[in-house]
Amino acid sequence: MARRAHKLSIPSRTSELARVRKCVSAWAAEAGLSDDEGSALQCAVDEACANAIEHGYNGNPDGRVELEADLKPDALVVTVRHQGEPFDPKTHNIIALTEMRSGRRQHGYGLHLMHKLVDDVRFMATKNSSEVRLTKLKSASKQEKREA
Amino acid sequence: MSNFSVSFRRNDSVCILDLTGELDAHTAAEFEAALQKCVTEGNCQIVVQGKDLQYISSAGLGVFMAFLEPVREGGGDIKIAGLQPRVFTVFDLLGFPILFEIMDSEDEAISRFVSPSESN
Repeated sequence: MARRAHKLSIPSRTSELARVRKCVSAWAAEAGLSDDEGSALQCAVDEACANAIEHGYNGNPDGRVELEADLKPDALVVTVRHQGEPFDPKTHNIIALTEMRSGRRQHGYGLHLMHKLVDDVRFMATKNSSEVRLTKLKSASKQEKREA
Repeated sequence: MSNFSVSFRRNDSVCILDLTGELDAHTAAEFEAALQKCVTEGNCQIVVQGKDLQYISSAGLGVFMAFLEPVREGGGDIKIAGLQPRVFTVFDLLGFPILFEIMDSEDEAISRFVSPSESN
C-alpha cells in the first residue's frame, strides 16, 4: 500500500479539539485501524493538541497547531507541532501516576494517557518549534512483531 | 457551539448529574461549574450518570479529581454510573477505579449512599 498523508492546521483554541478528533477518526478509518485503535489514537492526539494550546501557547488563541498524519502500511503516525513554549520531557518533572492519584492532582494526566494509548510517543524540539509524534500500530502489525 | 451538556436531577438526597456529549479541555469548565454548584449548595452526595457521555479526556478526569476531596469532606462522595466502554477505558488506564466507585447502573450508584440502617 502506498503511503498517504494528511495535514490539518488549527488555531490554538480548545474549541478546535472536537474538529481534531473528527479528523483523526477519519484518518484512522482510512489507515485501516480498528475502531478501538482509532479511538485510542484520537484521544492521544487530543491530549497532545490540548497540551500545545494550554501549555505551549499558555492559552493565547493566536497561535497555530499543525497536525500531520502519515498513513504507513503498518501504522498511523500523527505529528502535532506548535511554535509556543517548548516541552522537553527530559527536563520536565514527570510525576508518577500513583503519586498523582494519591496527591489528588488535577493536572498532568494527559502525558500518562498518551503513553498508555499509543505504541510510541516521541517529543522533539528545535529552535523554532516543538512536536510530539504519536504512533499507533495496526493490530495485525503487533501480532507479526510478537511472532517475529 | 459546545458539544457537551450537563443537567441536574435529584433522587431524595442524591444529586444526579447527567453528562451528554464530549468532555474535553474545552468543555471541562462546564462540568467543573456543575460540580461547584453542587458543593456550594451543600449537595455532596453526587452520582454522575455517564451513559450519554461519548468521550472524556484527561481534562475531564482532572475535574473529577478536583472535587473528590471537597465532596468527601462534606460528608458525601462522587459515584459514577453507566459509562460506555471506551469512556471507562480512559478512567481505567489512569487507575481512577481505585479512587472512585464506578457502577453499571444509576440505581446501584444511588443505593451506595443509603446506609444499612436506612435500607432495613
